[in-house]
Amino acid sequence: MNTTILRKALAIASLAAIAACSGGGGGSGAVIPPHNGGGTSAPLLSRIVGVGDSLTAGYQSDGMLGETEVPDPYFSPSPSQTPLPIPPTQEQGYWADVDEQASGLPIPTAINQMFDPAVSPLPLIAGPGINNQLIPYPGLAGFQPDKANSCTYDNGFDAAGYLLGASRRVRMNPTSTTIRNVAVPGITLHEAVTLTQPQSNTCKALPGIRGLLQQVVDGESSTYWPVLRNFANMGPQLTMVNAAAKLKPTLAIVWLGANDVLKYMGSGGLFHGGDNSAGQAAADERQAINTLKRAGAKIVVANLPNILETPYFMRVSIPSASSNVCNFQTYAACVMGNVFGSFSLGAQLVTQIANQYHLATPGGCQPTSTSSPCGYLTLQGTFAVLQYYQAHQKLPDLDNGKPGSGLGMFYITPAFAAKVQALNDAINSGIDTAAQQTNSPLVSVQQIFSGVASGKRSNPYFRQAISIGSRSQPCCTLAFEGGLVSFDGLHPSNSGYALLAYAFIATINGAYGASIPQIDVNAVWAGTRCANKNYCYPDPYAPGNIL
Amino acid sequence: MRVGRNVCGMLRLRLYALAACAAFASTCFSTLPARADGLENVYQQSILPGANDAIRNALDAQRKKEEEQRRQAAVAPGTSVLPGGTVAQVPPVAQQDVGSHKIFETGFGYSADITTAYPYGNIGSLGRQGWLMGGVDATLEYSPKTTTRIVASMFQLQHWPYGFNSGLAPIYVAGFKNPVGCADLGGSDICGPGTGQNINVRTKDTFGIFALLQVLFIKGLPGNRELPVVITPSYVVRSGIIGESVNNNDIVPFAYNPPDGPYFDNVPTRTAQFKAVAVTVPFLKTSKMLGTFTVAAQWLVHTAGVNSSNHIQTPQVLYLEYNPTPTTRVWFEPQSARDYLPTDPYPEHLIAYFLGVSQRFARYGFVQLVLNSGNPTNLGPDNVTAIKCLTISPQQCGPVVGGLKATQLQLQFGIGSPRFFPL
Repeated sequence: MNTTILRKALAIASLAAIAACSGGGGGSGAVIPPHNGGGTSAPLLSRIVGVGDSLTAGYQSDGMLGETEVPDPYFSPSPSQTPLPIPPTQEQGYWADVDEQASGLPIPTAINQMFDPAVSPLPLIAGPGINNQLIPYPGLAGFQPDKANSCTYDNGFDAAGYLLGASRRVRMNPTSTTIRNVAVPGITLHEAVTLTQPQSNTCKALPGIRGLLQQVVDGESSTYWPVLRNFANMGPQLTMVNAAAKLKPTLAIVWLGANDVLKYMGSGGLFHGGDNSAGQAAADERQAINTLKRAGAKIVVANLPNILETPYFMRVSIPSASSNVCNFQTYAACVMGNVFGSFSLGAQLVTQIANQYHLATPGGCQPTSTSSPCGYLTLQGTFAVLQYYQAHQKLPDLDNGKPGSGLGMFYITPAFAAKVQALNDAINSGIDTAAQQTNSPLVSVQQIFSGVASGKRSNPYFRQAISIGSRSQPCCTLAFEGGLVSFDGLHPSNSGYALLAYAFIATINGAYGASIPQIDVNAVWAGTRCANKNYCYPDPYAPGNIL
Repeated sequence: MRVGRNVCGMLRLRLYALAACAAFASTCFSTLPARADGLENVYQQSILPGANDAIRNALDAQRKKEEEQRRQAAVAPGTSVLPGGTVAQVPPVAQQDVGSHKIFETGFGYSADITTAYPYGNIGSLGRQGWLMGGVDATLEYSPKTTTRIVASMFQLQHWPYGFNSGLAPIYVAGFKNPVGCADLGGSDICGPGTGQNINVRTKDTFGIFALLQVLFIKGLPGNRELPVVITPSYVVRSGIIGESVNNNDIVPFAYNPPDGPYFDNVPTRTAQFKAVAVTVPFLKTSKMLGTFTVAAQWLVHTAGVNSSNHIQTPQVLYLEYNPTPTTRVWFEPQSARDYLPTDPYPEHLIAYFLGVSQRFARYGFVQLVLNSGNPTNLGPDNVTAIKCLTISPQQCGPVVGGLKATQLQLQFGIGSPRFFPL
């Protein structure tokens, strides 16, 4: 199938879906019992605080946005058409879902408050949003960054976020006193307990090694003040964890560590600044937990998914053309085959790339194995190949003339994948250890994602994931644009976050005897949790809703 | 990380004036890797010489007194001009006054010199590029009586103790657990484009010493002898200028215990004040040899920077001197000195030695050769051990300074007399 045509068709469908979602819609979840409205409030749930990174902040598609009705710059609708908005991300995160479900309020009311800058517990980001959100675009990938230059766009909107004073501009609620989600996208586990100011005060690239650092630390530098600006009076005591402790939480959700792995991966193994052993991760996780416990909080922690199982990483091994594995796992050949409308062409290109960059694993591979690891094209690598091939009918130089320089950015060799997985395992081991040592209940996101990635109907997580959606529009898998994650291939979609919220709620209820009503994941997918279509709309990243 | 033994050299030219004698010049070839912090020089330059001179003079006077007694006792009975047994109490008019302990010449004395130095070794590109800063040494002494001397002196040391511009140092960024890269302190791009670091570590330390030397005599020793002891309460104030400083002072950024330790960018790194009381006693004295031992109680006036405590410190100095001829002197001075700068979390135990030989020629000329070396024993790896950046902004990086080994060879020519060890 020609993806461009598909995207255009889906764009129209998406517009129609958003415009038409006045009520209902979506199928019911066979696995997930739907509960709507009215939870019970208890002291445990009176002040829930979020401590984490982009996953807890509600980051999607490389962007962070809280404002609704921000127009999509790529669409110039006619006067008769409703402008296509950029989907807000923060309110769709799992933490927002949990907090809404635990609020004791009717769900629509809780959702309204989540979106209301005056009372929202989120540091709501104004439009056009921080960083460079991938938004639907009728091109090769079906999406495109919303800013041509992230630093200069909209008179330096992103650049303002790097500075304490100027960060007022990027917030819908710059003087808010109600914020309880202090998660900073891009932050590492160690930074969470030590970082007292952004790593950089400029959006511009810095020279030399700092240029490399700029790439890997830019995330938290652009989001630090936008999230934590209301805690600046803590001075040198301001860390994300200390800010959370200052809120005297009754329940703190702690989910950290992903950036320790991602920064190592994205720099091709050059970045070692994050925690790189189970011991270091355990120590930092323990420090965060104990700081929050001393402030009076009950704790829930989560470990990391195996990032190599997310659609950002597209395996270069060639699946059988008759296999349905492309429906629930991400293979570069499948993605290219879809774009070109020819699986064999996709397989041929991927084979050439695998040979050229030594990405193949003789004898087969397992994605999470450190002994027989897989080789991958990254999401950027795959689309770089697609765009170049479409224009020149040949493959690009993914190393740009410097052999090995594309590692991490465009491709992952099996040897490097083993290192990434080993670090992933080490961080998870540290988190698990800290959880045990502090008697903190653990949400095993690793098990959830691995279960979904397994594609086995015997796995409860896979069954739960594919039960989302309708018979005609099934969702959600870890195939590229399979619905579980957003366009960036890493951060969950609305439905994916809801699935995580389900697991968090189950863990909190089980560990602390709470009775938080479970989230209706299907209602999230369908956009029917509330009637306000600016707040509740069909998951824009779910199959059938994607452009 | 490549942590090499950094060796550098110094050519030191020194114009000298001592007690109204115009100074000439001295040259010095040295290997002086950084933290040659100079406090050992305080004892070596400003306290011990006076104390040793006092002891030497006292013991010489005592020896002469004993010799005179023996000489007079050897005179045949009946030829004595005094009753027997009254020599010590009633010296003859012709006899030298050996019983009045004339240790110091009373009145004022002074000395002054100017110095300059040139680094020869590999201390990094900036350190190799030119002369170190010039300096001035000056001493004013006043002895109100022969057993008391008041000393006010200052001296300046040119060296590069702030850091050492060679080798690779890991770079930490605050917030990250592990180094995020490295930097070549020699300025090259070994660690990547733009990663080289040049820290202008050329430093001039200025010391001010205010001391009172008081000679006391312990009586009742065998042979009716007296033991001269020098008590020296002193106050030492030090400061400095570091080439890297933007305001021509010693305020430069530094960090401690990366990645999470503190970072300072407004602390004078070479500034400290000490108070001390030293006691110098002789243990060896012959016609050709002198040996003394000095121990002091020393405190900081106040802590600063990363200083963690201010307990009493006890620097110790051993001094051995041999004079094979009346114009030649060989001496050896091992020390266990203490230094405690704002960059030190605890006092440095500097194990150092000075080995020197001086030769007089003509009436006023002299030549002196001094070798000294030292290294703190209680600090970690030498030199700049890391660079910590508060953010990834280049303006907010500071070195983490470890221990530093110092070795120096100094050759001095002058008119007057060797003013002890003039570094």
